[in-house]
Parts: sequence; C-alpha cells; structure tokens
Amino acid sequence: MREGVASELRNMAAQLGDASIPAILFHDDITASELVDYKGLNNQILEAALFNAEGQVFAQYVRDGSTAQPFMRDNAPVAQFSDDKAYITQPIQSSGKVVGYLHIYRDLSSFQKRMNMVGWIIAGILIGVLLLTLLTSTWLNRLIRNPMRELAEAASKVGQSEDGFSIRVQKQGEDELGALTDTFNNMMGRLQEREGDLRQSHARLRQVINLVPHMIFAKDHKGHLILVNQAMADAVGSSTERMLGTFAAKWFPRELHEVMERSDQEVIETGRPHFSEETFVNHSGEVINLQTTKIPYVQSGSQKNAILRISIDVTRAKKAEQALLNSRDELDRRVQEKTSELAQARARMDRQEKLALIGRISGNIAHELRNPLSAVRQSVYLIQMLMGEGQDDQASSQLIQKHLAMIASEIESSNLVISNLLGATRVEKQRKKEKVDLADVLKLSTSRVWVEEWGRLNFEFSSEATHVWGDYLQLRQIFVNLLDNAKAAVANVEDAAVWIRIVREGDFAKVQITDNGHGMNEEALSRLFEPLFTTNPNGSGLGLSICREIVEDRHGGTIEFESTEGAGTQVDVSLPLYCPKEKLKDEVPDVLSLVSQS
Amino acid sequence: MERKAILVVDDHDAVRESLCDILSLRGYIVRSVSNGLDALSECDANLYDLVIVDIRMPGINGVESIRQIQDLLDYKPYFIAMSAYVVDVLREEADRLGVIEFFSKPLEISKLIQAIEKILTR
Repeated sequence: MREGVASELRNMAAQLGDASIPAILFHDDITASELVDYKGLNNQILEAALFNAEGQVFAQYVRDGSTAQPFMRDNAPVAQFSDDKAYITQPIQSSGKVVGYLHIYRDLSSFQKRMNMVGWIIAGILIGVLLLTLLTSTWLNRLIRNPMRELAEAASKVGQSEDGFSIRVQKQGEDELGALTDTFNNMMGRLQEREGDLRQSHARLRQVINLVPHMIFAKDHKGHLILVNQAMADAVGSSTERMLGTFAAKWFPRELHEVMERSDQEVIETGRPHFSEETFVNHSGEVINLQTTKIPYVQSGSQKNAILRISIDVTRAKKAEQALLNSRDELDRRVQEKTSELAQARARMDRQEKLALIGRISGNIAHELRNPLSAVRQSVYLIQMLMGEGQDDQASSQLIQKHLAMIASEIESSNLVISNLLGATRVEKQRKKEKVDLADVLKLSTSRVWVEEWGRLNFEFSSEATHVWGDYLQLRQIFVNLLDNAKAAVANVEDAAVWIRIVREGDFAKVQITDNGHGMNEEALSRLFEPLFTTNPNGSGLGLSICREIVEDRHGGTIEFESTEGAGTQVDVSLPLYCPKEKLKDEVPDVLSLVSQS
Repeated sequence: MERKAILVVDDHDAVRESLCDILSLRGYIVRSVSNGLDALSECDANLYDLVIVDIRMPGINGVESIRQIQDLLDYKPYFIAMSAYVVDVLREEADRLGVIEFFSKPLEISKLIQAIEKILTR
C-alpha cells in the first residue's frame, strides 16, 4: 500500500522535476505555477512546491484549507510517511547540476480512510468467513460429529451398564451416518437378544445348580466364594447373595475348614479330584455327614486353580447304616441272650435231672433202709410183746434171742447199704495206670469168681495184642462185677453158658460177655446204671454204676448192654488200645463226684 | 371162733419172718413166701383169709401178684399192701384192685394188727 503511494509520489516527482527544468532555468514562474497547480487534477495533493537551487520557493501550490509545509532540503531523494500524509523531496538536476528542488505532500487521510474501509471490509470478510466456518462446523457437528459422538458414547456405555445392550442411538438422517447408526442399532439388538438368551441360560443354569439338593460351592485361589448354591446357603443359614465373594472360611467351623484346606491343597497340587467324608454341623445344630467331591476348577481368564466342591448329605444313609449295624448288634445281643438263656435252661434242666437222679437214688436208699428198719421195728414190737406178757418159758426166750439176732443182722445190712453207697461215690481217681493185657485180666477174674457148676465158660480171644493203658485193679473190678451179674442171670437156667470174647475194633479193644440167662425188661435196661437200682435181692445196686465210672470216666471207653427178656444179655466193654502216647492224656472228669457233692 | 389164715409176701427175709412171728403169737395161722409166683401157688394150694403183700418185689411185683390171685383163683382173700416207698405209683393200682389198707415201711405194727382184726371180724 505504502509502496504504491511512494511509487506514485516518485512518478509525480520525476514528471514534475523533468517538466520544470526549463521553467527553472528560464525563471518562467508562470509555467512553473501551472506545473505545480494540481487543483482539480489531484485532490489528494496537499502541497507541491518548486524551489530554486538556493531553496527559495519558486512556485508553490497549496490545497485550499491547508497550510504550507516545511521544506527539508536534501540532495538525495527522500520519501517519508507520517500518520496522515506522505512526503517526498528530491533535487532537480539538469546536466548533472542541481538546479532546484521540489517537494510534494500527499494527503493520506483519504487513503487512510480507504485503507480503513479495506480493513473493515477484510475484517467483515474475515468475520463472515469465521461465521461461515462456525456455521459450517455447527452444521457439521450436528451432521457428523454428534452422531459419531453419540455412537462412541453408546459404544462405551455398552460395557459399563448392566443392560448395556439395550442402548440405541437415534438416527439423524438417511446418510451414511444414518446407515451406520442403523447398523449399530441392529448389532445392539442382536447382542441384546443374545445377551437375553445368555442371561436366560445362565439363570437356568443357576436354577439347576440351586435345585441340586447337594451343597455346591466354588472358591478361587484366594479362598473367595465364586459360586454358591441354595443348598449350601441353607446349610449355613445364609443366602447365596450374602455368601458370594466372601471368604469360604467364614462359613465353616475352624476345625472343619482346616481339614478342608488340606485336601484343597492336595487337589490344587495334583490336579485330581478328591473324595472325602466330612462331618458338618449346620446352622440348626444338626450333625450332617457329607460325602464330598472336590474338583479342580479352572476359572476363565485365570491361571490360578479354583476348587469346585460338591457335598452330598449322606446322613440318612449313614444313619441307616448305623441302624443296620445297631440292629445287627441288637441281633447279636439277642442271640447271645437267647444262647445264655438256653444255657441257663440247660443248666436248670441238668440240675433238675440231677435232682431227679438224686431223688431216685434217695428213693432207692429209703427202700433199702426202710425194709431193715421195718424188720427191726417188728422184732422190737415182738420182744416187747413177749416181755410184756411176762412169759418166760423157753419158747419165748428163744424167740426173743432169735429176734435180737435178727435186729443185729438188720442193723448190719443197713450199715452195708450205707457203706456201699459211700464206696460207690468214692472210686479212687488218682491211681497209677500201666500197660495191661486184657486177656490176662479176664483170665484172672474168671478164675477168681467163676465156679464151673454155674455154667459153661467159653473164651474167644483175639490173636492180636489187646493191651490197654489202664488201672489193673479197677479193670479187674469191672470184669468181676460183670461176671457176678452173669452168674445171677444164668441162675436156674438150663444149659447155662457164658461167652467171653476179646476183639480189636479200630483203636479199641472190645470185651464181650454174653450169657443165655433171664435177660432184662426195658425198665431194668434203662435204669441199669442208676446207683442202688437192682433186680437182684442180694445186690447192692451199685456195681454197674461203678463199672461205668471206671470204663467211661477213668479209661475213656464205653460200656453197653443188650438184653432180651428170657433169652440173655450181652455187655460190650470197649477200651482204647495201648499206644505210647496214651501216657500223656490221662485224667478225665468224673460224673459221680456230683453225687458225692450233693 | 375159727382161726384165720394169713399169707405174708415179702422179698425181705427179716421183715417177712418177724411179721410171721408176731401174727402167729396173735393166734393167726401164718405162712410166708418171698415172691409173687410162690404167692399164687400158695394161695392156690391153701385158702387164705388175708394176704399181706409188699408191692415192690423183683420179678412179679406185688400188684401183679394180687391181680393174678384175683383173676386165677375162685375165691377172694382180703389184701393189705405194703411198700418201702411213702409215695408209690403202684399204690394207686393196688387201690383199684380193692386193697383194703396200705402201710408204709417201717410198719406201725399196732395199727396193722388193728386193721387185720377189723378185716377178719367182718
């Protein structure tokens, strides 16, 4: 702008300088005045003046209303600007010689005005452009940025809120952004649908887990509960919501939790399921037996192992098992009770049998004693009768003598009954045993007791050895007794005979003594061994009971009778054969001690 | 008054003999045997007014003997039974056979004599 003004001034100065040279040289001031008169030519020129070489005014033009400006002489052209005017001064040269000077003042106020106007215009334009830009950006904001921001905000909200997928963005137009919004909204719709499905299946899963009657929970590696089902919450008297996220330790007694922790560690280390039985006291104070399975449970997004626990309440099964055990114990106990009752009944029966036996023995003793007692009483009565009558004839005194003798005899026989009974109960038990040949014993016994006229004796001895381990004297007593019985049996029998045989039967030597005598009826057979029972008026009734004790209790053998009334009797005595070991097992319990104890 | 005949049946010699002596002294005709078989033959051979029998005897017992005498003979003597057992199963049988008195041993002679006199004066 200034350059334009300067250049204009310089051009004017150059034209004016060149044109004014002749006038100056010729001092033609009229021409010179015409030359500087810009009136009507250029209103902007405040002053134009020509000076002579001495710097005196030669010609001057001053615009109306203005005052003359000072002349600043200078041999070099000078252009200066102030706020409201521009100034140029230069020398006028002709043939290399300064002939004069000129200066021109130009009014810049109009220029300034124009300049100002241009400035305003520019400012207006700028403002216009600015406004336009603002409007445009507002429009763009509304058109692009807002929807974009909304989308972005919506997108970021999706992750933040519970029902993020329900967020929709309002469509602003049918342009590309509108299409984008539609796409976003569609996507959100699908996501919401999916999320709904997911929630539903999650809820179903939770429902299923809650419906499971077993106690289920999972805890992470820090011991926080990350899954709890209803049964678990019920057991500790809480709710799943309260329990989730808390320390599992909080809900279990310390001891149990310590036990749980140990096996938890094992599960984590081995990565294998763990099965255990636990006892747990629930919030109602009931003791519950649990069968627990622990499974390593890898949480999504975590490297650390969590543990899933499923505890099945086996209390009822346990109780049933216990009840079963109890009832088995009860059964055992009852069986034992019954067994002991039976044993007692048995003992009672034994005792009753013994008492019955004692009763029968007592009966026999009574019978044996009451007969002599009766005889004595009768004899005494007779003697008193005779003496009371005062008869002292010979017949009477003889009768008295006879009955006194009878009394004495009856007292003796009474005493014998008692002695025999005592003897029967006193079979000596501690006698020495030795190797005894049965054939020897039998030969000796028969030679001592048997008289040829009682009947024929037949011997039939085994060719094999028939040694037994026994008491010689006691064995002899047996056979003497048996031969005595045989003698009684064949008394008054025609062609009486007795057979004596010794045979070996396995580990036993068997002696058979058979007679063809009277034989016995069944009652006599069944009561044979009863002490004091006898069919022989002169027998003590003790022989066979003594025999049985010697054979069975002292020698471990058997004695058996067979008899037919009127045909004869056979008695078999079996005794264990001698063998070296026999010395070792000796003593056997005695039955008759019972009688002596009673 | 005619003398009455009594048979004593007992396997115990002294009882039998002393009883015979006492009854003889009381004026009865008395005989004795030691078993049931002999009792039957004796009763068959002679007429007895009274038989005193021990019901416990070896072989044929007293009750059996009474039954035989009653069944086989054509007269009926009175019977008195004796036993060394105070309680005796044979006693019931004896009662059924019409035995008049039962005496336990040892015998109370005076009562026995009273009973005999009472029976034989019927």
